[in-house]
Amino acid sequence: MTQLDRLSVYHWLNAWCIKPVGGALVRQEPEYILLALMGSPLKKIMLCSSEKEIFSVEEQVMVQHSVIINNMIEDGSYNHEESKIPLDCVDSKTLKKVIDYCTHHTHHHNDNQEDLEAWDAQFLNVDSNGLYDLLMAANYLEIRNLLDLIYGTIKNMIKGKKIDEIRRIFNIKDHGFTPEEEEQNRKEYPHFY
Amino acid sequence: MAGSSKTNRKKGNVPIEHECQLNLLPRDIWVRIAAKVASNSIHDLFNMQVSCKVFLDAASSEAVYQHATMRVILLVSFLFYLDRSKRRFLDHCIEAENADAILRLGLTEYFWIACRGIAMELLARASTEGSVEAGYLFAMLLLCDHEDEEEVQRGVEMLEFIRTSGKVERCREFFADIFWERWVDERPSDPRHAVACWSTNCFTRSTMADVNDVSRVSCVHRLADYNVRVFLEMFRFY
Repeated sequence: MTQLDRLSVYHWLNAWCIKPVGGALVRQEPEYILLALMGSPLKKIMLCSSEKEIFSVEEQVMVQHSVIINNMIEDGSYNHEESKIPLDCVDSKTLKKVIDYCTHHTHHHNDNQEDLEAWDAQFLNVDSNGLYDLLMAANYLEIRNLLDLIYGTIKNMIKGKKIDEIRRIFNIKDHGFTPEEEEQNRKEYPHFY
Repeated sequence: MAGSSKTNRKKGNVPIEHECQLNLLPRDIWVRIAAKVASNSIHDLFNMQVSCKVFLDAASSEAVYQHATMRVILLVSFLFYLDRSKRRFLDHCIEAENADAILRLGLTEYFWIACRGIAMELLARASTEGSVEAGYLFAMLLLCDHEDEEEVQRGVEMLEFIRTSGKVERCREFFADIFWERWVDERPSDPRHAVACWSTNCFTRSTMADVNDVSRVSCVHRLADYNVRVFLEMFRFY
């Protein structure tokens, strides 16, 4: 069974999350069903943070979310027996959060939208440094849905804020404008309302 | 908002305290964020632009102008000569193929400047860029203004596409808001005659005037005729 077949089966099982047990249909975690069908443990991959800490993650979790990791698995450049995937620009704390996000969204993607949004809001309840680090990690790993989530959060941070507030939020100590440019900017503010 | 991750920070003679932390993220990330900001509020976009030069650079890119919302921009802004900065902003949006901006420009060209040819080109362009409202208006004007069978048929087909996607009501509301109690210098022609449908399958051969239940009508020409009647009702003169 190819990787694509396994993913297809996984998604089908995840949608149903049922298996027959003693004549009744019982909800089961899809990975255990797959385990029973495949007769082998789900594959894991090793991610190595910038602090050289190794994280073992289910392959399908990262493949579903990260374009970069998906490409590495598909083109065969990742060797399950020997390789770690070095992520030199992602520290351990951030990498753990990224893995948590991908794992949650893999195992709970059938949850109702409200619950998912509440979880996402809690997930992004971090300080600005943490948000910044998550954004860089999501960009590096090309995790599109996490990127969209963070873009929306930053958009809301800017929403309704004045210039000085935006500078404070983003810790902009040197805005780069000369006093003359700054004055000109303010004069050119288009009043469309 | 300094990141704690290891990044490719610049080394050299630039004092760290004068580096802009925002430069640690690739420009395209800030462009995408600015596009989201612009699609929600141009007031926020302008504040973002003048916050710092990194934001100004990102927030002045084509992708941002393409997605900038036109919701709060008065139609008069497209009609009269504005000061340079306002005109520049709208020109950037139109050049970036902002569908909403092109639609509004098309509106002013047709209804107030009376350049029907240019207006129809602009509406077709906005429709191609994804504006359903522009497609609806384009179809309506084809049906109103043209005797040419081919153009009328084109209008029927475009309207049918919008109708089957369930967006006619939304388009009507959009234009009802625009034309409500607003004088227009040029109004669409009224095809007073019924566009008779000669199809033997059509049960309402003549006009829709006496049809009370539109849901029972399946002939696309009859439905187009009905939609034209509703559209022309929007133009109120006092």
